[in-house]
Amino acid sequence: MIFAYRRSATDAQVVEVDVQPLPGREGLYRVTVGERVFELTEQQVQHLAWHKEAGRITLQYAGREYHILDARQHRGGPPAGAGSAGDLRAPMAGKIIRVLVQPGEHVTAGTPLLILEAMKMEQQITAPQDGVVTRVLCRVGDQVTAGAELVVMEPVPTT
Amino acid sequence: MLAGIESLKSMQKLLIANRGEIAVRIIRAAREFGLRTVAVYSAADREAPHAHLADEAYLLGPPEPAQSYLDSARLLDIAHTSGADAVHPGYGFLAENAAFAEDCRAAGLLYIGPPATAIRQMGSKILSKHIAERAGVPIVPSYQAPDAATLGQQGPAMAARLGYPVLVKASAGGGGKGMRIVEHAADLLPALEAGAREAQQAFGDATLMLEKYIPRPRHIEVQVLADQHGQVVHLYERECSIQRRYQKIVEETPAPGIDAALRQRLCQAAVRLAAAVQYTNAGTVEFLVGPEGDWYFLEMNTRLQVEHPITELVTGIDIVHQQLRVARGEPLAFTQEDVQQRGHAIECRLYAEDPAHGFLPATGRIHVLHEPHGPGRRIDSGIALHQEITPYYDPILAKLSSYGATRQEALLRMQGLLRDYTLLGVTTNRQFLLDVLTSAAFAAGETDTAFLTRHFPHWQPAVEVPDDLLALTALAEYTQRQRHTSTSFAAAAAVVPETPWQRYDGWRLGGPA
Repeated sequence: MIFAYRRSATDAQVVEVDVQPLPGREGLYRVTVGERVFELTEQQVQHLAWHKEAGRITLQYAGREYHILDARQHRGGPPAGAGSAGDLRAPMAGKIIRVLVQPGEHVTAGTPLLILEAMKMEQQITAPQDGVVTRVLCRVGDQVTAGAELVVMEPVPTT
Repeated sequence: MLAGIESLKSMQKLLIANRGEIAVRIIRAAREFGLRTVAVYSAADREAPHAHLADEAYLLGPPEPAQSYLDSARLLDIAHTSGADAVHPGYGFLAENAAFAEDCRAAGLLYIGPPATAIRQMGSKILSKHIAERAGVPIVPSYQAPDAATLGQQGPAMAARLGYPVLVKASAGGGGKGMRIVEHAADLLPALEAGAREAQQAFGDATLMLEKYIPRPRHIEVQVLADQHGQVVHLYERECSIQRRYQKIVEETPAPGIDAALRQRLCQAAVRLAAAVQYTNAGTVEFLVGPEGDWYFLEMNTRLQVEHPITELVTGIDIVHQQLRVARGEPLAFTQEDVQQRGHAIECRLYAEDPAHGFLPATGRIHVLHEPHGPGRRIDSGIALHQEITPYYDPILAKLSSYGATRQEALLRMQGLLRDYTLLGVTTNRQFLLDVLTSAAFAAGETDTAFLTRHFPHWQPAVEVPDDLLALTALAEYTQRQRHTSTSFAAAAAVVPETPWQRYDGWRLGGPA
């Protein structure tokens, strides 16, 4: 059975990993990673902690944490909820405590658009570039999830 | 000095007005003390361990703190309904709310904490500093002018008296807004002008003050315990300098980098201050310690402190038990001479946050959880497998503490504990803490409040996954799929994890394959 991974969210290269049970030897597998071949037992899996969600795989092995992608389920790109302050998506789950702009408003890069609060912390969502706010998709008091789209903007064409 | 002595009060049933790890900690301590326990929980905390650990649990209301853990009227209602005769506020929420302490006592409940007057006095930034000065506890020298014109005239002379560098800050302020470090006299007036503009914008008040700037201070605090019979003791100090966004993430005791003489001075100052406000119960006096060994009172926390476990590890004193004894009117069971600091302890705060992205809070469901025990390890945890971590509260998940005969031993044990602790499904700061704890700077005890910005300014977990680990991951996915296709869905669901290691299958009902 072939698995396909990216070593990180920004890695363009897909690594194929082939798992084949060794005939007649229960619990023993030949696993091929590119050119390299490993013989692994089913028991060894017990030492790996892993969790897969939406194509993202978090691994913890020998105390160290790794993040890889299932290349078939995820095309890469920054993770939801981990965006910069310039994103128009919620960088974390939380509650909208202020909406500072209205549709039709012209804003410049860095203008505060919304304030989101989570876990006693306020996070300002600012305009990533000059533009016009076309839609505001949330209201004060809304609970939003990480990655939820909050504001739609159209960049101002440069003249 | 003996104001507020109460005769020995009966205490049978304790309401814990808090959540998470501290509620769990207090429920256990109360039970050891022979008390029945009442937990409270919000609608977001139905799955939380604290709600299931107590003898009784009551729903407070919706998730928002104002309608749940901060709703004092509702808490008093529940105390009445459940027949509780005592209330422990924990830390955060209502723990330093003088009115809540008064309301509890007015309702005939034992409040596990200091008198409301002490909470109020120490809760005021200005009053607490006056009281500290009167008690012979130094504060950071500062100059407050009545108006901007006077500050302009007197500023240069006052700044020279404080000694450069000085800090210009907004009187109304906080959060670093309007704050400037001035190194030389020539830069003072321009800094005052710019600072006033910023302060006006941020707070609607242009009033500024000057303060002596302490470069690279250490944040050191002293634990005190006081009974209702006039006895105040200290339980030595904790070093809490490793902070991000003014929040502590690593604490240890004894503090590296301070000598026995300074330790004594800080501890005695803390006892003097506690006595000056007729303090009772557990409290913490925080100090800034400058690079020259100069030290200043910062504030007093009139409650149980998050990092109290490391003090318990080196003194052998259960602080929550002592809080209950003191609240009941008993004298402390020991004197200052009985309190010894033995060995070394370190605490790391495990937070649901992403250290690679500005320490933003993280939410989600816990899918893998293994809390490893062993010699010299203590875990104060408030979470459970499959629990949802919501955005409503402080992101602390668990406190990991280690103990050793020496700092080196405690450090090695902390590294081991951080390596073995496994929580997947929610982003945590575990790997970041491990990198801090294995750094040469931490080993050298170079702990001051600028530690993280100096040594870990742009930390990323970026580690290239080795081929053998990709192979193991593929095999893990493969064997999981085989299990699912060879058993019926219902049968697979019935395979309840029996050992922590078997929980590592990453499988969840209804989840993505």
